[in-house]
Amino acid sequence: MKRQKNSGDVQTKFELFLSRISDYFYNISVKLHSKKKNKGEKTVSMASNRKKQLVFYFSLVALPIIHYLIFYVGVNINSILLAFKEYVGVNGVVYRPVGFANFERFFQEFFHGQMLKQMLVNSLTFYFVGLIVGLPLALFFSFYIYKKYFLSEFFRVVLFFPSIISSVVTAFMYLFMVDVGLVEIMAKFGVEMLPPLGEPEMRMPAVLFYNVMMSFGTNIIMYSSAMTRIPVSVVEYAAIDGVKPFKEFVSITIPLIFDTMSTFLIVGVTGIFTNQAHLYALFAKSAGIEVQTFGYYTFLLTNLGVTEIEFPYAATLGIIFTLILVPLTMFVRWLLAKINPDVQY
Amino acid sequence: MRRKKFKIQSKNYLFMGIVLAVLIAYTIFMFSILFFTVATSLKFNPDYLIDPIGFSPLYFQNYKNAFSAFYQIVKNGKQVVYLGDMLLYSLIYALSCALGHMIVTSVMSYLVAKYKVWLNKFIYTTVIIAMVLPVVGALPSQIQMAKAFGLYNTLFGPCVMQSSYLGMYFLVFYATFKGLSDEYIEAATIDGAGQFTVMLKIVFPLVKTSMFAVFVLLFIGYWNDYSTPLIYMFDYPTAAVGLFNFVYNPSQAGTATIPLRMAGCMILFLPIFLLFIFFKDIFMGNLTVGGLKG
Repeated sequence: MKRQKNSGDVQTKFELFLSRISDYFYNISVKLHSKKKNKGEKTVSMASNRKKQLVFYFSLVALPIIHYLIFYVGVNINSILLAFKEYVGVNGVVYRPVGFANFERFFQEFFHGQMLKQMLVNSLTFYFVGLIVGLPLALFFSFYIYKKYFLSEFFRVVLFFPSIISSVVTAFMYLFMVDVGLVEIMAKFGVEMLPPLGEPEMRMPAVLFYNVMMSFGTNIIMYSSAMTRIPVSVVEYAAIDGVKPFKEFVSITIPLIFDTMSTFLIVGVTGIFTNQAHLYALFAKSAGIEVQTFGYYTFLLTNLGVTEIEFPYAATLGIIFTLILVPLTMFVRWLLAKINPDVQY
Repeated sequence: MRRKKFKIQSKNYLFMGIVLAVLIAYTIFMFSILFFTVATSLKFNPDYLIDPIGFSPLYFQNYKNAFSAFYQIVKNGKQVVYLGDMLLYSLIYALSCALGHMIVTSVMSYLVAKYKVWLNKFIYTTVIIAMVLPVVGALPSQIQMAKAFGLYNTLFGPCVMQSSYLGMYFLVFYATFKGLSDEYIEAATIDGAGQFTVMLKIVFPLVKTSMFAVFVLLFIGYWNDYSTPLIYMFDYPTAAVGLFNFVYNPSQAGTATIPLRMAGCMILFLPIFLLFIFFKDIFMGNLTVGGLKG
């Protein structure tokens, strides 16, 4: 009996031992499995996701910001420094400091000469003709296209056409058309006329006309795109109320695209002194003073010589124009914000 | 009654009638310019000298001659660049600059529009400042900087300089990305997509029309641009620079009669014209710019 009991105890102990071993290996298996599972399925915590976002963000943003620091900030700082220097170019010395000599030269030339005054008048003329003639025409044309009136798609293509052609090509085409074609056609009808672009008195109107003609392309696309965003319900209500096209244009369309318009108006102000008015394409380096703008003159100063002799003076003009344009742009921006109907739709 | 109705309608559409008349005048003007150019480019020079606007037999040889007459001497007289090379330089210049500018602008605007990071305000402000605070006359300084970084008078120098996020197209892309629902991005992130995958495979395909439109507009701009290559890569004259010299400095650029110059104009114009015909809708697609706020 005792022997039987003993054998039973041994069996129980042995089973217990086996079960412990089995449990031990089972635990190892569970641990291994859970480790494997964790390895396969990434646990996504909010913190690690944010970290990844930031790494991605900064790795992509770094180069463009370095580019900005070099080619915008660096260029402008260098431009300011350049305005206080003079080109020497002998004995290994390229530039030497001259204080405000370049600024004195500008004010001397501006107040005691006619050239820079004329350029100021011309620059402003190009801007205001663009504002008073070009902008309303662009808005009317955009409205015509947006309303899908007769042949609107065709006119859209025609208006955009000058934008796809090089200004060298359009300038030469225009030059030829006006100075040769028009003169010859008029001669066939017995009317003698001098080539408009060759004649100093006619040159400015001819160049202004060319600038307005070539200015529509991208503006039409932007304005008509902005107009298509106007809610259809607003236009339909207006139509039910019997609102005429002109009234709709003035009272509905213009207020609703004012944001887009003001962007272009502000950018236009910033371009007053940089606008070359296609003069380089029309006349290369020989545009007469009656049409020259500051933009064209600055470009000539930089591009005319083989050395950098006029670089400091061109940089000086840049600083002076910037000092004039910054408050002017701020004022225009403020003014546009004041009159902006600020319609939400 | 019918007369009265017509009177009311005509009054309503008087405004649009005037706009239509101006548009017709504009169209006639543009077509007459193009017609004169094409007609002159197909004239034999002696015929042109006798009667510049009269009809004469078509002389297609001008187009063939332009490829040999249309050349520029570069690298201090060591190399002659013909029209074929110029067209290749134009293609390289326009493609590289348009791609560089479009990629940088779209990536930056995506990051600013969709990631909440403190730097966004700085980036957005730099764009607005560059647009509304005009810095004039930086060209001499830019040339000096290009020289300092070895980018002056190289084929890919302008591409590096143009690969900036500043400019109007940043706002175009910014408006597009802002208008895009975040749900797409969230869904892709839950499915395990990484940041780069989300940007390239989810977000960019959704705005590919705008991206392509901007690319095409930039490409045309660079293809037609003559002033940047004239200054920054004068030993690699693009077709626009070549044509500029061909038209205005004929002494530098072979025998340039007026019909030959017109043929040169048409050769530069035709590739873009064909591109325009094929991608008209993309060229004139809807691009929107909002206000300058911030």
